[in-house]
Formats: sequence, C-alpha cells, structure tokens
Amino acid sequence: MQYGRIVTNQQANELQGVFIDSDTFFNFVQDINGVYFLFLSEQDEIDVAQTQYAYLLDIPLSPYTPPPTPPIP
Amino acid sequence: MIGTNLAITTKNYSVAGNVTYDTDALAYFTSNTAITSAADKNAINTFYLGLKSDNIYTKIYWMILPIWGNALNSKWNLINNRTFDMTFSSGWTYASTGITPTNAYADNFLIPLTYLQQNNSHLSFYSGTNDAAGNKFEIGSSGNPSTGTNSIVISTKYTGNLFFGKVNALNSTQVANTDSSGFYITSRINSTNQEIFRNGVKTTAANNSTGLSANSINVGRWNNPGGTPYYSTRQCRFASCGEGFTDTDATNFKNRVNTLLTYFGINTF
Repeated sequence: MQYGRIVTNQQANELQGVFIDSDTFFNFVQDINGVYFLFLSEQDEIDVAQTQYAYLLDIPLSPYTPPPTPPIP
Repeated sequence: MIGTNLAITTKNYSVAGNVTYDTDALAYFTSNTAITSAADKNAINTFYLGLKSDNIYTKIYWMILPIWGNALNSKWNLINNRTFDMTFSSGWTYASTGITPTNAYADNFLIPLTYLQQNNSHLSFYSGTNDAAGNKFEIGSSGNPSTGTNSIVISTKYTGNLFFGKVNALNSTQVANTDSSGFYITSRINSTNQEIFRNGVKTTAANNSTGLSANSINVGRWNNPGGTPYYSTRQCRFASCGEGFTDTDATNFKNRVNTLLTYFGINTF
C-alpha cells in the first residue's frame, strides 16, 4: 500500500508542475475516486520544508488506491 | 646510436589537477560535483574511453547514472549536452544505488520527433528492482494516448511477465521475463525489425516502425499526455537514448555499462 497526502483539486491544479527548487517540481496524481494525492520522498520533504509550501507537510498521510490501469493500447 | 620515434596521436584528453581525463568525462565531473573520489572518476573515465573505443559514444544522445543521492547530481546527461539534463517530479527517492519512483517521473526533454530517427533509435534502462508484474513502464514516450502508435518504451516486466519494448512503433516486441531487474535495451536499425535485449540476450520481432513521438522521454513512466501514464515502481540505475545499436553495439554497451555498475557494486548480473 502506498501512502500520500490528500490535497484539494484547487491545490493540485495550482501547484502541478510548480518547482520546489531548481531540479524538482510538484506532481499530483488521482486515486481510484479522483482524489488528488501528493507523494513526497524524505528528500522531497526536506526540500519542501524550506519553501513557502511547507504547509503541505502538515497534511497527514493517507492510503492511496491507484485507478485501474487499462492494458496498453 | 638508437633513434626514438616520438609519434604523437591527437586525442581528446584534458588534464584536471595532475590527472588526465577524457574531455567528455571531465565535462561530466565538472557538472556533477558529487563525484569527488579519484577511483570513481577513474572508473567513469574508463567507461567513456570504452564507449569511444567501441564506436558507441557518438550514437548516444542522452545517458544518466543517477546514483548520487540527490536530484541535483542525478539529473546530469553524461553526454556533454546540457539540453537533456533532467528535472524530477516529487516522489523520487535518491540513493547511491539509484533512483526509485513513487508515482513520479523525470523528464529528459529529448523529443523523439526532434532528435531521433524513425528507423535508427535505441532506448535503455538498468533496473535495480525485481517486483511484481504490472501495467507499468520504466521509461518512454507515447506518440498517441488512444492508440499508442509512434511510441518508444520499455517495460521490464509487464502484466503477464513480459519484457515489453517498442521503438517508434505501434506494436511491441515481447519476451517472457520473470525478473524485472537487469539491463534492458530496445533498438531499431531498420524499418521492419524491432529488437529487445535483456542482459545481452536478444529477441527480434518483425515490427514496422510507424513514426516518432512528439512527447519528450520520461523516466518512471511513459510520457502519454491525455492518457494513462503507467507509473513505474522500479529503481533506475542507468538509462540512455540515441541511435540504434547493432548486435555488436548492444553487446559492447551492455558490457561497458555493467562493468561500470559492477565497480559501484550495483550490478544485477
């Protein structure tokens, strides 16, 4: 089971692709119910903690169920 | 009297400190400040010299060795072309063994339609992970979200335990594979055949090329705007893209890459 941080649709839309630092940008993915999740590695968390987006670290981790992936077309 | 013939052959060598390195290796050392060990530099320099000796180096447009524990130094293209240095999405774990994605990807900005040739391309991925089969791709670009045509992609262990590869094509070449670790190459050097190699073992299938994708190549998924990304779960220890490989090229490349990863203690075969 994967765990990530649930964000609002507005947060996901506003922050998708926004750079945390010179090399890393936010990526949000939807779960099976269309809810947006943010996945941060330990290194990402250290980097995010030093930015205006540190508030995202206060979001508790929640279990993530991915949407079913169709067979490759 | 004994005469001495001091014939000098011009080589692309540069001197750093008191050590002489290949010019392109030195450029990489200059960019990647995580490489401080003389032994590491020597191993990487030997890798460059080997690729050049094998006449492979000029066929590679982008290659990465993301084993430096952070994004800053994992992003560098070992080919001295800063156009293809990567950026990373959130979700990557960086280690001395490689980079591992959790719903994450990295973009190398190499657009097949712009930089590759339809009937002369390769893609490679060195996986450090053996995990369950699934609908996931380790690296690639999709030419069409609905049909998947014009795609270049590697899945080391797709659903059904299949090593799955495409090179600028609609249809894949597949072979049974129960272990997703190892070194994977897909290559095409003509319009009709598509070859895939796992740890140097080749599978060939008649698959016509269809075209080149207009989407850049991603590590950790295939870049498939408007469609399913098929996120990977497998650790990347090395990857490359460029011109197609002959069988000899593929064997030599596999040996050079595996020798380098053996030096770092992260080879899988």
